[in-house]
Amino acid sequence: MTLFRKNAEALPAVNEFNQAVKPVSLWADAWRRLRKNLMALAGLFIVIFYTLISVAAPLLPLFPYEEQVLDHQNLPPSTKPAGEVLLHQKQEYMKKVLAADSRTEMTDDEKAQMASLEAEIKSNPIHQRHYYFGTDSLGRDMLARIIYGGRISILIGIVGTITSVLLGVILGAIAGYAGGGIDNFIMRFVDIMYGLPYMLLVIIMMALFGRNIINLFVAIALVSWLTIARVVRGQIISLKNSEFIEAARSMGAGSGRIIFRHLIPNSLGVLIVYSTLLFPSFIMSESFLSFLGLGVSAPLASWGSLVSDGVKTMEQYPWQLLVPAVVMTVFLFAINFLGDGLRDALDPQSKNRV
Amino acid sequence: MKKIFVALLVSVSLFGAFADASMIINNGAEPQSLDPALIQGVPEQRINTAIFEGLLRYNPKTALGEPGLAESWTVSKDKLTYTFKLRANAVWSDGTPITAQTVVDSWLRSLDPATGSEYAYMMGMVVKGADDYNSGKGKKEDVAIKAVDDHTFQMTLVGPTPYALDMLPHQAFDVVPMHAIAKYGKDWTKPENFVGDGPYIVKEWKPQEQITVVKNPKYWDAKSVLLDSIEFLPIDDNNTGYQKYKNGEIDWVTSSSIPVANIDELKLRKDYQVSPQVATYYYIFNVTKKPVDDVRVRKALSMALNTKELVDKVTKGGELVATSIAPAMPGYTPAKGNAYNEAAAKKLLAQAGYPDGKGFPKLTVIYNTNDTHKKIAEWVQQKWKTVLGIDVELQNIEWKTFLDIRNKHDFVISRAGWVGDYQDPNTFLDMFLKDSGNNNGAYNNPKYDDLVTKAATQSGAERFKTLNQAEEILMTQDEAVAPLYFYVNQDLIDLTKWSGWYANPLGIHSYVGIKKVK
Repeated sequence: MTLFRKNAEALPAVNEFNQAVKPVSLWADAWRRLRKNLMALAGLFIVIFYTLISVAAPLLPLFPYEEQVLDHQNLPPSTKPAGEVLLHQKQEYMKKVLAADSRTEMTDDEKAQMASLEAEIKSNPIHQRHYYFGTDSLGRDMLARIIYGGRISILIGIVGTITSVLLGVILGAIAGYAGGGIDNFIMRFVDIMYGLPYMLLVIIMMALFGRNIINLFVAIALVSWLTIARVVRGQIISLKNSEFIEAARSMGAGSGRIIFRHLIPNSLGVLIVYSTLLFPSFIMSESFLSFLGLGVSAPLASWGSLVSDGVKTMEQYPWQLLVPAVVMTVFLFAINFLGDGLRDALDPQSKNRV
Repeated sequence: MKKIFVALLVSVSLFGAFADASMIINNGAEPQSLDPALIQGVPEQRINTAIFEGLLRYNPKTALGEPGLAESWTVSKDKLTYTFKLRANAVWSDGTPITAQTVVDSWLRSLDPATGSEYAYMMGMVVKGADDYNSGKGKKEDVAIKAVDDHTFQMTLVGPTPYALDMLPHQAFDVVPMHAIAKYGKDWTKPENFVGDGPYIVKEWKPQEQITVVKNPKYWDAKSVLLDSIEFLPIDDNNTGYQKYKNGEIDWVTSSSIPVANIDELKLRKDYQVSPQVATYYYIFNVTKKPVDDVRVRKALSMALNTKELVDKVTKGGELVATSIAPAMPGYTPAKGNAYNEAAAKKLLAQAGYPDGKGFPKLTVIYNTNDTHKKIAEWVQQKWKTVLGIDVELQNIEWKTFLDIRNKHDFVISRAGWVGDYQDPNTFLDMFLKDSGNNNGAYNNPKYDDLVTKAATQSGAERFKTLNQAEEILMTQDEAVAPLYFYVNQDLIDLTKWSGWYANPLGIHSYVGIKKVK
């Protein structure tokens, strides 16, 4: 073994014309190909942008996401200061009141109300705030809530994907490589888990162990490694009798080395595709749970809970639904394009395609 | 052929216009039960008034008692003995006659400790011997109710309670079909077994979907029942209910289902009905659980809430700030209570050992799933955080489970609302008696119990004075609950389409006389 490696290091790689060739690693190769895929690149930048913002959220000049300014309820997105938007909103409402009562003049009472509101807006510095994404029904800044909501949603995506990929790869690889009784046992367990309804299981686990974020992470991750395990097992079975594995085995490589150095890297393409599919599905599951009222609890928000709150007022205050929904959709698109690009880039079969 | 088709279409649509006298109501929650002895909440009561009737029924305009099964009654000089004359034509929907003995049996069933009725204490408050039997201390025979003959029923009260007649329409005094209960046991409320004596009878119950009741032709006042059927929908998403209402799929959105998020829009609508209600919105403290077993903590939590801001800027329906549990009523001045005072709240919390909220245990506030309750809970959570520096978690729970948890006292702080069962402060105060089934916070103060029980034997101004003393103990001294506001009735119903519907102080509608006009 050592002998071979020494030789490999000593002699530079040459092609058939005896010209020196710089070896290309899997990752460098993949990156070269990914760069040529515009959609994937755009996806990558969007994902990086979202991640940076989420990580840096506490450093950004945002209003606290849980702070309620009850005077600023339901303000639409605007680049103007809150005071102006509020006044405009009140004036529009007054017009509606007048129309509903079929009057043309405001009563003295209403006039006094408007005047005191104007004075208040001039004197109180809080009305100088800007809400670029509008506010919700308790006067909380939507921008801050979306960014902090994104932190939770993305975190659920990451934690969920990592745990389920880890579990799935390890169990799937063991089952595929060992075969026989072990394979049977692991795969039948997976079958049983498949038979149970996924959402119901998560809801039951949440009910049993209490409703907090950690339990939400665990519950979602524990029931979602099944597909990965199956896919990895299939890949391993199809690869484990191929020539390069035989070669490795004949040179005395152990099971661990064969699995982790040869089999899994060769299944990476499929794995990456599945992870990028899983990632958004975790975000969706969390959104669904939040939508049902089982997800994160107030004052925390996630994209799902923001959308769920927004739906209730979508006719009157459409931005409360649209803004978080668009932000979330863009991210999910980006992840999907990135995953697609990564699959093309990492696929060993497409190496010569470029 | 075409003509026939058109004629057919016209006749179908005409027929449809006349036959479709059905009302669809958003009831807001799936009911706990249909058994009058086993229900507590307003959604259940809304169904109950349609399918059962006691000696008296609610007047649709005033919500006071008016003749129901009993066509007339006499009261003895000392105001202790009431003799009711039952209608000769009063029968169950299966034709079985309702006799005075049925009334006696029904009341005894509700009092029987084995029935486990949470509302039995209400009868216990007024009927002689009832409380002893209900709490297992007395005998069935000593309850002072009797069937003089088939159509004469007599009851003796513990005191000259002036509100006795007005509380009789309440479900705690309902008459139940003993013969059907004997035959079907627990299953008697299932639609296929159902027997009732109200203006409507249960036809269909699809859990979490709808309950349909149809006109009861055997009801003594069937000529005043002007709808063919009523559907109760258990939609707990207020916005969904509101959208359905706007689409014409729901005819009446009840008070608890009003979408507060859309209140500005609602106020401009002609079919939005607002009127005062005898009801209070509050947070219950479970006084047996830490840290709210300490009265200073309870006061701090309550006094930290600027309820004026809540009603002006969050609920915005014209609700009134509350510092007592009972609203002001003719002749009755409620307790002073502990009004909003941030400085005092902080001081009290510090005295209790949690300066600036340091070391305050994490606790959970529960509320039943509903947008309005959620919004209010988030407001409360934020106030406690900014004023007192304490963190609480919020948890929403489905209605049936929510009631169950509250009855088991398995919570620390819970959202609650109480709509008066009759128009007297007593309906708010007697639920905090030690043995009351509605005493969810496990409040226990013998002095308070004595005063409330004593008041039941008094009358006039003297009685109100005793009740006020009791409430001072309950609210000002012990702060058993944190009152937030007094409700108003908010209903969405187009009164140009429906006649016979009236807003009343209890928000109880008997459905008798409601008619589709258009």
